[in-house]
Amino acid sequence: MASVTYDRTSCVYPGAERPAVDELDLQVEDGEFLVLVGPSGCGKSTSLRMLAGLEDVTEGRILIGDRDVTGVPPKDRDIAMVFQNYALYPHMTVADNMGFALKIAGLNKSEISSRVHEAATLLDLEPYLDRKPKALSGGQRQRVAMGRAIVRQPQVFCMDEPLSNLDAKLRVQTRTQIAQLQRRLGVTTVYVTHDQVEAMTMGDRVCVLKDGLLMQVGKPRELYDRPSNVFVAGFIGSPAMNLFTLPVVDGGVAFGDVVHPVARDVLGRAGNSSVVLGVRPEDLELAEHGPAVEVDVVEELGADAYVYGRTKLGDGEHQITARVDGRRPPGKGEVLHVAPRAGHVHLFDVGTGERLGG
Amino acid sequence: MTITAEKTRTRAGTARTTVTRQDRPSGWYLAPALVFFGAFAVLPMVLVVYLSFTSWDGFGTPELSGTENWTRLIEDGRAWDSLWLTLVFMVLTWLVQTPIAMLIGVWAAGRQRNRAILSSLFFLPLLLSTAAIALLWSSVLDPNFGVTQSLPVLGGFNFLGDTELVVYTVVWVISWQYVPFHTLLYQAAARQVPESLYEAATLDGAGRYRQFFTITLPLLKYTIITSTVLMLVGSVTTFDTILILTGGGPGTATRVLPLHMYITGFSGFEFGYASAISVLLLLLGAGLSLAVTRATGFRKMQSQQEGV
Repeated sequence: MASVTYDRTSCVYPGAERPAVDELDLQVEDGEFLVLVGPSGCGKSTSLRMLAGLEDVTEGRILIGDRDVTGVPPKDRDIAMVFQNYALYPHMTVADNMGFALKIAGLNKSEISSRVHEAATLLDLEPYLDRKPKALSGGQRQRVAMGRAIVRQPQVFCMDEPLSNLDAKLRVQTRTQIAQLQRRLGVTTVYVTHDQVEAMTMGDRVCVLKDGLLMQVGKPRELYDRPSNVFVAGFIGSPAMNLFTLPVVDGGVAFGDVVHPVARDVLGRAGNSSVVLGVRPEDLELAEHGPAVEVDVVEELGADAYVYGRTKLGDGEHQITARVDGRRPPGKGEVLHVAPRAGHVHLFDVGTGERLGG
Repeated sequence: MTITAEKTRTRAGTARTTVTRQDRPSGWYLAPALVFFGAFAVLPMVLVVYLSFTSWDGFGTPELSGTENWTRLIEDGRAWDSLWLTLVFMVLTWLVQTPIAMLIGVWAAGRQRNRAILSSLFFLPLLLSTAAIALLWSSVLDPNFGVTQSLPVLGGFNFLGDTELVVYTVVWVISWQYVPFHTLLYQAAARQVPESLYEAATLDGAGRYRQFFTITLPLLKYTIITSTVLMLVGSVTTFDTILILTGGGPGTATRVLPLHMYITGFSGFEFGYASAISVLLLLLGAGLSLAVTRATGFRKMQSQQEGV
């Protein structure tokens, strides 16, 4: 077992204008499940591939434990990787796929066989050991890819969107299985996904990247409750947080016809006469006063319903999403008034996007 | 138009859509292919089989001669020598061409510097006509005026005049001519192997040679078969290079069966007997390609990439 450290690690692709990963500073604790998440092109896969040794580090270092592996070839890093398309060897049986690394490492046959069987038992793959990948379902292939990583007993697992080729239902199941497995094995894991739900449900900690820059890293709860900038606020959570640019007035922020009270020192930090106010759909309550919302769509989910509407706020008309009681949902075209729940509002600087307070 | 497709269950239990008659494209779409196949493949084959039972000098009308040509073929020692030589050429050219074409093809599928420039150089023989290639090599290797004669070491060999050496010379020239084509096949196939397989193998600790032998080579299996069948069939049909390069000589040292057929027909004007030889070649070529595809499971037409 070992920790993983990115020490001001950068990756610049030849001919690219800006780095794919820009001075990433990140510590993954021993045995931790860290999720790298962000929109496509944010550098999450590149970061993982640098750790695996499949991508060159342009600047900075990567350490596994105390060992600098920056220039070490992939096979000597003691890591195993699960690929998005699984990358199973199509001409080898499941057992041969799983045992390939061990065979190359020169282990004897009985040792390979016992380790393969052990992993197969763990993953319910025993009946399939003699099959070729093409005779397996998508979920089984995914498990073989996991098995191939497990038999190596590596220091670190690298997982590059391992669930994105599965259908929605299987993805949710497998999500839990992978998280359980990782906790059982206690192997440090770096997991890449673009799906923020996966990130929030699986990770001990989540690291949000955008344009090669680290936006925020923390426990899922922290990211949700205290997003450190506008990007994280909008990226984490589904449906996404409502974000409005609103003028600062005496004693708070003008939210439609009411003033949302904000402490003076928080407003003092704003570099502008307006701020970005963020409020999650579940933190909006129906109220007597507040901005008028014209309902466009109501999504009824049973217990809850989400109201998607339009409202005039600050500089113009905005989309707004609010969660309401599922038993008494408003009708389409109705006009409601909403107000943010006290203490559940996030304020960000208009210029820098940094969190001011909440 | 209404679509009247109905679902039926086959014995295997999988649902299959049965297309009823009115949905099927008209049979006339087959016509162009059938006309060409009939005119240029079936008809000549039927004719050549017919001619093999006749006596014909190329002029006048062929006269039926029963099995005379066939009994003559069975007793013709020169024909059997030519057949043996054809098989020798077949094996030698396969042995020379396959590894070279595979190595260059796999190499050309990569992303190395200068790859594009060097590849175009390697593919150059593909642009030359057979006559040009044969003339080029005969002037290079000519025992009296050839370029090789003024070179050290090589000057000591009589590439086209030595009855032993000439076999290898012809193998070399034919390989030089056809390797680029087979390289193209291998290049295309090697490009189909997903990059992630090599990445996975790298992480599993496989070096470049191991990756070639455990990943690239097994996944090129069907390309090897395709290329092999083309080479085998080519060996029983092509004679043009040899005709221009050595004329089958010296003596009969390079007189392969297709060339023997050509000389019998177009120099000896025994078209009936030449037809019998060509029927033998036809059976040989068809038999070989059937045998190869059956022995290797190629006929099952299963994807090798499925499950990647």
